Amino acid sequence: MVDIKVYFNKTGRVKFIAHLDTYRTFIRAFRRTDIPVWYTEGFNPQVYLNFTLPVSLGVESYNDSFIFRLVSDYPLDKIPDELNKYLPEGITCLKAELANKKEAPIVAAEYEIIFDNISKEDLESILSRDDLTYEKMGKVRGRKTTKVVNLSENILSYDVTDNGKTVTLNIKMTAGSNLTPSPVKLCNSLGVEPILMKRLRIIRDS
Amino acid sequence: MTEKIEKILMRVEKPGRYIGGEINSVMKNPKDVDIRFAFCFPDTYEIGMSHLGIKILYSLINERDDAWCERVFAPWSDMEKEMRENNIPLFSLESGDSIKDFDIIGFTLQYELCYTNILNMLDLAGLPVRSKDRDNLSPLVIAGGPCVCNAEPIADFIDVFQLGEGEVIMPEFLDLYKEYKAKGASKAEFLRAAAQIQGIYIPSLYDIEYNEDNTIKSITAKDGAPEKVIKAVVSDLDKVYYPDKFVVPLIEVVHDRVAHEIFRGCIRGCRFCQAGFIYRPVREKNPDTINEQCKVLCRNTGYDEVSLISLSSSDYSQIKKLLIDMVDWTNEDNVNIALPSLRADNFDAELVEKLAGVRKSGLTFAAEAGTQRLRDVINKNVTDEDVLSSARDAFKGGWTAVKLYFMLGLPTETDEDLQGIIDLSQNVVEEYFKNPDRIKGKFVSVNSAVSTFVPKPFTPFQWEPQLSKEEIERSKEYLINNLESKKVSLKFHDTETSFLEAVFARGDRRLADVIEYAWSNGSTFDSWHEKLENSTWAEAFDHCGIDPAFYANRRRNYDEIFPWDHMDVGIDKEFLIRENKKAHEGKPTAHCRIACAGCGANKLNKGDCDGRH
Repeated sequence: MVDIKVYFNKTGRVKFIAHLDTYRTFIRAFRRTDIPVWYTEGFNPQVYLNFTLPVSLGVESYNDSFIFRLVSDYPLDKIPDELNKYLPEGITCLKAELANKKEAPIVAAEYEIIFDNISKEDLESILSRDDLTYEKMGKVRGRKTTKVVNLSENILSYDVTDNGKTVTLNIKMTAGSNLTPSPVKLCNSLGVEPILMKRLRIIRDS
Repeated sequence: MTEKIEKILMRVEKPGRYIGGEINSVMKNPKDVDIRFAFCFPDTYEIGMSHLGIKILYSLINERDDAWCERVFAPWSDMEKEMRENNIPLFSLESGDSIKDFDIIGFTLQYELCYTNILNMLDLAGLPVRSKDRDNLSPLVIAGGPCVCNAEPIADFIDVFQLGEGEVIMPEFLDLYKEYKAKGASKAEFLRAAAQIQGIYIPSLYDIEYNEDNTIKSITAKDGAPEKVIKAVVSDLDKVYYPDKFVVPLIEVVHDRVAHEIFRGCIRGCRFCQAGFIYRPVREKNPDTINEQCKVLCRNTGYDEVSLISLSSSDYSQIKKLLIDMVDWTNEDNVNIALPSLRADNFDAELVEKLAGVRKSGLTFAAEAGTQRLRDVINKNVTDEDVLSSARDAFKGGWTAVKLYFMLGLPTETDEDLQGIIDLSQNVVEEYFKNPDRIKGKFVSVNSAVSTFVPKPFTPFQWEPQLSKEEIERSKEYLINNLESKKVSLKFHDTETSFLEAVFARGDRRLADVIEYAWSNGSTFDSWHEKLENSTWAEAFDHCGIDPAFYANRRRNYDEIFPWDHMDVGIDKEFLIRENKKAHEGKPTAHCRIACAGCGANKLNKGDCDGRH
């Protein structure tokens, strides 16, 4: 049995389906392929899939990935095409490779966010504040709590470009075992509605 | 998808409801087809996509080269608000086009409380809600589904109803529409011609006259429309079209699995159950056909569960063979078989568990009434012992939660019958403690769901009153106050919901004003408890000068003309009168396999009925 890592993009309207729905969509696609995929054991066997870092609803995802297990030989280069046959428009597998079991931990993620209702200067002035906060819902011993999170501490770097009619924000924020703020929360804190949000890549500790 | 829609999707709950693009959804070029059909489900995406009928008809229409069927669901209130504020008309999921320009807008009527959603969807599409205010042949507003057996409350809004099974009516109807569209015919010309198709009901071709006491004086067909609209049925389920693929939702829906119908109709004849009568005659599908179609559907969808559906699965004459054959491939493919609607009197837990690998979720037994006397009245031929022994088997099999279904307000009900609900529930708890092998430390829970009886057309109880709201509340209190066991939890249906359902189930055309008033004052999604606005409805009845109790709480005479008397679903009125009389005598009727009770439905299928074999 070998662990295989598959890279994929999730773009267009399928960005509006949540992580769990993406997961189910992949499982149903696997069930239709001829890929000898490993099922979990137990009373209710399921295709085993392990996603690297779920993306928020509404955010396009590039170079996203998950790991599954092969129970017998199958050509790696055939895997993306075979899966793509059964995936909806917008979810596209790019490549499959043997998973590296000793990967460094995830530390950050890079996003591109496009706005059409704010100027470069205004956006930069909001971003330069050190009190960008949002309320995070949580549970402590079964009781609902809210916690104020200061996003500013999670912004590692950013860059704003003016494209004429739109403004593009490229931003790197913490991810993984640290807090992973979603770009949706970021935009809420900024108080600006984006027209497009993309997660470009996941960054690991080097 | 336009940028405008995309932007508002970020602001609404569950945007995946509105994006389309699912596996197996059908895309066509609008220029290549003669008929654009918007299949509308007047409830949310998750409810609508769980419905088997829409899947069958969607595929059936899309098999034609000359038609494109697209899906439309009722937007939830948050989406509706955004759509109205941003001038986005109701659009289909496939093309994203506004359905106003489609040829046919078809609704399925699964329950009465969806009526305000139909008006809301027409309005969102930018169309007048009343049929008489839509002059052109297109878009034509049509409706099908079980509520068509008395669709009078919405007769003023809909141009065409289809009574019976869509697989039979739809092809002929679409052929005729195409022909009339090509020759540039008017809406009136088309409607007159369509009335000649079996199962087609054109409400505008019937005049209704009322008596002074508000009952119906006469129903008169005009312009050559048939005096009685006869339900159309599929005669051979093995030969009729069945899809080889279903649209697979991208978001989780209520019934997220392959659904396969194993037979239509029901042999039981429980006197409260409309479905048990209006889907007759009984027609079984061959187990080989079912097995093969299930296999293909699983492979074309990727689903890991197949649900074998019918009104009473254990009455399928070849259930054993079917399960044995299916397990051959389902085990290998990691597919579960779900078998809902099992009866307590022929529930073979061992067989089902061994063969199908059924998941240990809850088990539900429909006892319906608390005493044998009342179960005889309603013709639910299940005994206390049937329920208790099924529970015993379930507990032996390791189940610790059992659900029981009951109804309150059934004809002839007394407090003794209510007490019976409590006693039977508590006796099921006792069964658990009698089991010597029960797992120590685990608790038993018996959930008794008590709904309120709603008298429906084409049942032996169509003459019966519904209990008044006050009496319903009193009965609920009786049950709550007299329950002793803490292991039993009682759940009730909302009284107001059941009351409105009772009004519309047996309503007439005068209710159109009430529905329009309630809708224009904000009522939508009335079947959703959190959305039902009781005060709006009360105001609507008041405003229109209509007493809802006239429809819900009044006992009818056998000779009263009903609003649905021009519908012929195959069940003879004389049979229903016989059954009603027997109910009041407390006498049950044997099910169809023991003796044919002569309901009359076999005349729809050249005298054939699988209930008799």
